[in-house]
Amino acid sequence: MQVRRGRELTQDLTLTADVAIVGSGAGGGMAARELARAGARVIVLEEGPFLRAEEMSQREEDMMPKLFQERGGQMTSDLAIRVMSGRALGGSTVHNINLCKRIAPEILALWEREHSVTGMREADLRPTFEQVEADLSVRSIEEKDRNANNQILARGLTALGWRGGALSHNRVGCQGSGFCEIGCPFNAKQNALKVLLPEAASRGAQIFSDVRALAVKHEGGRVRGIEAEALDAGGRGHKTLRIRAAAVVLAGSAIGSAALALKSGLPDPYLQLGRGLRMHPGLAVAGWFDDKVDGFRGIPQSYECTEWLDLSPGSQRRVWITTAFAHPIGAAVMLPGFGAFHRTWMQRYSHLAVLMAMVHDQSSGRVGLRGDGRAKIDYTVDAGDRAQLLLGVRACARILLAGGAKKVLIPSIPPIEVETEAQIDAISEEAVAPHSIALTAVHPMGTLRMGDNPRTSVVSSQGAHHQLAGLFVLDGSLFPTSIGGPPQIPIYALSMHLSPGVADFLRKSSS
Amino acid sequence: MTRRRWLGGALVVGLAVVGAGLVRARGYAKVEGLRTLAAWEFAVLDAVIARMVLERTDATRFADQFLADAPARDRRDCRHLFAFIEQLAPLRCGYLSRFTRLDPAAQDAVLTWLERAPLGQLRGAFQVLKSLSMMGFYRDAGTWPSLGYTGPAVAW
Repeated sequence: MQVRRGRELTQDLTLTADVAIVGSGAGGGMAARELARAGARVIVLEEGPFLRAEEMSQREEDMMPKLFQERGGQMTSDLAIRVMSGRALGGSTVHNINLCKRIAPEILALWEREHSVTGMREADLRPTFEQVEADLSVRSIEEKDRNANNQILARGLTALGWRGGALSHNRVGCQGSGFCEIGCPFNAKQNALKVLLPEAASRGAQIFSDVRALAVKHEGGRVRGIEAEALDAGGRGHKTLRIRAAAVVLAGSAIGSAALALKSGLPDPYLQLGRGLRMHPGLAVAGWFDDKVDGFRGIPQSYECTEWLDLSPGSQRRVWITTAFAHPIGAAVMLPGFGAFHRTWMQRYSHLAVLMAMVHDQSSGRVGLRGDGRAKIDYTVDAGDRAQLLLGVRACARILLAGGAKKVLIPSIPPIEVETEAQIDAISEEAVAPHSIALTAVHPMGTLRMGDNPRTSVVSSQGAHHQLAGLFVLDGSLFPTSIGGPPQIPIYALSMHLSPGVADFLRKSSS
Repeated sequence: MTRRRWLGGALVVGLAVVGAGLVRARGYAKVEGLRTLAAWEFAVLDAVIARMVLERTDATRFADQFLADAPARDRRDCRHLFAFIEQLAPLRCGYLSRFTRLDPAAQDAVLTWLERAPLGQLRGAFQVLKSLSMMGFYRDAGTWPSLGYTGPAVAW
């Protein structure tokens, strides 16, 4: 695949295309392929680097700064939640854990009923989901590929009689090395970088890495293109790119797309830009076992607990639980405390199983801009979601004890160690209060929401901006609510589902 | 507020800033080969890391490299954080000495206060220090055998 690296550009560029796509992950990669297939002249701009499989070193301190926004240190503005968002060619599909779930029918029904979304019933999307799953080789993870950490989750659920099951993934040729979250050196991920962008490039799409979009240019109610800067090896802008295009697709994540929309001064008569941020805030709980777990080996996440996940409106069971294992640096940052206490738990590293509880959140945050132009993420977990976090902590602790843990560690401040049911019951909501426990969010959604009512959404159900002709959004920003599960397949699918509308727009505008 | 009071206040603040700057820059061992940290910043971070991981390693050198590649705004924020840890946090905990001159138990008390501070931003600041410490320490393959961690499956 031919990729033009921004750091290698020697002069400013002015280019013309039918469509400029900002972002190259699930949304942008799919849009690039679909629009290239439709015959459009496509340019893809990705802020992050182009990393080949052989450049994935499996070293956290090396890969985190390359693969994640703000070198892995992106936080909400109150420093309460770490937000993990991708920035390499292929976007978050390069570092995600390859979990594949469709959007639940309850969520789609809610979008239609309360958010004026049309054309996205389960039956409307089913063929698209099937096509995406075929394209990306999605299949259930076999029991033989379940590592010890996931076996503990399955065992705990069986002992408790709770609902759970195997997850599906999009890997082919997985070596089970366990480093998925910092890029696969075996090229096993059937992701945007491997499956979609190469086909787009083979059909003439021009793909740029290390290029940061600065503004969507617009005039007279129509988009005119993109202004961007090529980044040098130090991440500083060193050359300018001006791309004239009849259509622009924002696909830089719910954070990046919203920030670009705000920087561009897009029309926003009903003050909707950047609002409605959901993130699936999550926390980890560790269990200490007599036997070795070696959770860093094998497929990191292959089993789930859905006992506490009911996606119907008004539900008070909004917790999705799966495994979450980190390599030493990630584990050390997650484990609470410092000094002797911390070291004691780190010495147990290979005997730890870790579960993660993510909340199907109702808290609503907002993406804004800082003075230096970076995205500012305002998000506070509300009381209802805090109760769900507590539910998640307790459920994880129960599963780990039922799975055979001799001690469970809740990484709150101060840390809580539990060995009995009574101790689990005694965990109070204080343990999950803001800044009292390490929270992570890996699924930003919903800042440029879709819907057919311009007063409550930014784009239509076709992803077209309500006020600006030629501007489309095709990423997780579209979701009007949280979806309560991993978003990669939903983003791939929505982008595939809505790309024909972009192609139609191009045909009409050229005629 | 009268103009005289305002000027008086500004003078006091100015002297405090200059004084803190002079104090801050003196009495620290020179460190060769740093890319971005000043000697006093290196000393502060080195002392913090020693309490975080209970060892003296090259983690602080790594943090210097890591921060050197960070955006200027992040380096500036870290500089403010190191100054806070060195000068103000000990005072808040009842110690009159700089952080780097406290004994280990007192340093632990300062870090514990920061970790559990009522203000969320301060807890966040603790996490920044902890992340730098843990990254610097556990990136070292020499720490892995004690964890039972076998390291990358590929060696390029």
